[in-house]
Amino acid sequence: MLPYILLGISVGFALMVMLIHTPFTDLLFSFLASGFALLTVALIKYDYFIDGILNNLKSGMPLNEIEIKVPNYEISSDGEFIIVKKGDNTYFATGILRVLIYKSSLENSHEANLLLNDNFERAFSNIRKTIKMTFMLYLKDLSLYKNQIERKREKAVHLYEKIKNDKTARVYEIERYQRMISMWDNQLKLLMKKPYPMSMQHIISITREGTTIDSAILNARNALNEAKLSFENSLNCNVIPLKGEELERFIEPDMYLPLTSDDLRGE
Amino acid sequence: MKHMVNPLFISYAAAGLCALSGLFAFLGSKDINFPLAVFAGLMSFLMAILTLFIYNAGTHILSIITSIFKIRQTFRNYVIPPHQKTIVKRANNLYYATAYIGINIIEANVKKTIEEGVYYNVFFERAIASLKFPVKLSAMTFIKNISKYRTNLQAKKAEYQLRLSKEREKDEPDPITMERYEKTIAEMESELNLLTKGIKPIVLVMFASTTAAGISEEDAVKRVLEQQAELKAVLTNTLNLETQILKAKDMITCYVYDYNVPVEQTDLEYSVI
Repeated sequence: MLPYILLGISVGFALMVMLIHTPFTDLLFSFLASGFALLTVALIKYDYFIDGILNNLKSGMPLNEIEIKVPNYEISSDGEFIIVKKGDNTYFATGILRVLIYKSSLENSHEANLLLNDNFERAFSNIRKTIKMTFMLYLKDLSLYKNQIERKREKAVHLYEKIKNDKTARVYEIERYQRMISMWDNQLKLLMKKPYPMSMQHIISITREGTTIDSAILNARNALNEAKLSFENSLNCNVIPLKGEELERFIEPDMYLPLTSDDLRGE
Repeated sequence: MKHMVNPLFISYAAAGLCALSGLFAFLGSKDINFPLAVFAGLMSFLMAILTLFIYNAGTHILSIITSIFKIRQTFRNYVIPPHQKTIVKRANNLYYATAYIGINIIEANVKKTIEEGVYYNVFFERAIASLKFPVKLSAMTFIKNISKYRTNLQAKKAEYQLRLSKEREKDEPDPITMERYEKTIAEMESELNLLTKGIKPIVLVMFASTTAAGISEEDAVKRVLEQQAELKAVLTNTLNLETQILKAKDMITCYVYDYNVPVEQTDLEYSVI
């Protein structure tokens, strides 16, 4: 509200410049009108920063580290929504859906890609209010999978060596182990090949507001159900709501990128 | 802060007020005291320029100020370093730095041919898959109110048709002008056709973010800035998108959008991105 008041004061001073004509008042009022107009824009642009500095000055804290106000969030008791409180009685509930699309457009045929494009647009245009779609891409952690394949290959090599020297062994058994080794070799080669296997998650977030937490959740739940139906019908895929820790995983970088310091040192 | 009016209009109004008061001060007292009138006028005009400069380059100015005075901003367990290019979180004895990029789509999908649209999807996925670090691409959309949009479009189409017929009636019609009018009419017609088919115009706000972990704050920031530069290059060069590095308030706004999507269309429209 403050920027609007300041702009009003600026208009007042500009009118006074128009009405009173003496060199001194012209200089003073034009300076004041411009000053308040400048302050209005500075407040629009730096409100959070100015607020932080004023708070630090009030509490006598040093100005090299200021605490800024960023809306805090909490997870609702049922673990399905993210709740943000703004002002005295305005609550925002955000629900998150995960669209399970298993096929990449690189694997799809030309017609299938055309249809997917069309259906995506249709799904979006069914929802009237603001909606956020996020594509989360990350490299798959294949170290464990690679170890498993290497172990299986070693086992196959060991059995092959054993059976190769056995004169009673049948030819088809030797061949079976040879084929098994080449299969694991091929799989390992595929894992090393670029582009590295990526995982892509399609996430939809919807926020609705209410005067109480319950009303915000109710509004968000309705909107979420509407979006779920729209995406399920248009894309012919499963859409599941995220819950509990999965919601935080979407926001917090340490949960989104779960690394240990050993991983980084190894790098 | 929730804006009732578009902040862009307020800043233009503020700059206009500065300029207007300067003009009145100059005109009012130029006959009485000319040097003072010139000084008042000039000062107000400079303030008007400064107002527009603050609005358009505000985030850069703030990051320069915080870098000079080494001011760090904190919220919850996050820290924004003085350069204001990343948001850093400390968790599990590690530092996680996140950087953001704003995206402008130069050419809308509807203006592409069907073939182009499909291949764009494939290129998009291929380009993104070439990145070796985690990326979050966020797109916020809402449907435009089409009733007013359609009427405006129809009126414009009629206007261009009239211009075209006038041009044709001339003794020596200009072929370039005629072609320009014909192209504009065809574009408007295709847009109107899309509307009648049920494809509604969608407003899109898009940004990308990437996160890197490091054993120290500097390490994490260095890594994420490298990732940000690579991501920016991929988005700009491969996908023909216009990108800009987001800093300060724009960056915080994007972070908040992860758990609090704007509800009203105006909130999204007035957002600082």
